[in-house]
Amino acid sequence: MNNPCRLENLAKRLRRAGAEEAYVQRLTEELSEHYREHVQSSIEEGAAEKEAEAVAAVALGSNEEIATEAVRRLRSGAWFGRHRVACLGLVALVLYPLSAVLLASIWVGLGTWLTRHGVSKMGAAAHVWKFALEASTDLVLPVAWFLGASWFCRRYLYGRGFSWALCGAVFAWAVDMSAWATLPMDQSEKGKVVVGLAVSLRPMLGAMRGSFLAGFLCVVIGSLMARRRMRPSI
Amino acid sequence: MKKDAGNANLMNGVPELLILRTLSRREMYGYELVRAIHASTGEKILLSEGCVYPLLHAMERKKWLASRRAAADGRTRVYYRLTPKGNQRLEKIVSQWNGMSSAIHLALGGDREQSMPA
Repeated sequence: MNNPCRLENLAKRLRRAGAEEAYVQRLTEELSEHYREHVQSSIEEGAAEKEAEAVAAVALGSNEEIATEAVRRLRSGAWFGRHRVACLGLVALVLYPLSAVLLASIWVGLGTWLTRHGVSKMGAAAHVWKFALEASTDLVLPVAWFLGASWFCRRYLYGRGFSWALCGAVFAWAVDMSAWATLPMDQSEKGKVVVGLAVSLRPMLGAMRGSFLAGFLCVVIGSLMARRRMRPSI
Repeated sequence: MKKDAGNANLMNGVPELLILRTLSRREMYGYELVRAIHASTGEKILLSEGCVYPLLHAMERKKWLASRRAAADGRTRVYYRLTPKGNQRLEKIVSQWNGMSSAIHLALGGDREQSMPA
């Protein structure tokens, strides 16, 4: 395969599907070498150079065919690729509570720091608390989820279409769910902690319910997107 | 192996079997392997040349094959060889294939016998 554009296109397809760079390099090198062997062999058998190149290119197959096969093999080689439904639920169940706990600890820490420094007496702490709570549930939490799930899917599930379908569905669900995750604010010291924990726990409980719905939606959307690209080629 | 989607299920596992069998004789690089399979099957089966590499890599990940790079004629080739685990896999799928093949042969032969006049 001495056509650099063709080789680069194949590499792009593989990278887009989540294949690691080392694998992409190895595959393209071997294909390139195979092409050269084929051309040389045909020339030795008496074919003209142009003819030999054309025959070798056809024998090698199209980029789409090779990329499809490579991605299919990568997927089937990983547990996450073989058990996509199970791991979608797993992603939701693990990542969402994890990001909720992480963010909750940040804003509980912030509130504690403000209280220690006497800012609450000026009434400013109440505003900071409220802002932090709303921001974490309405914006930061879904974004953290989105990035985490996206990384997970790109790393283990292979396929950008599938990853985006998953993240889109989960993001929509998380934003929707965060709308009701607002509790009346209790301004006492103890109340702030209780409210903080309650607000972090409610998305966690919601995540357990929502993960299965999001997982199901993503499997359907992802499968539809992937179906036209996934054809048996060997 | 060029084939229609219709016989995809029938041909599942055949490339794997042919690769393991061919590499059980000696180590080979990709192009050589494709040619060897073509020749050993009486030029009836030609693996899809570009798609053989993802399969070889997948088999290597499963530890059925091992590879090494070697320089030859001013180029670098990747040679594949069978591992003990690959040998076990070969024995298993040869046994499965023989069982299935005799079952189909029996079924086809049975049809022929039934259609023959007494």
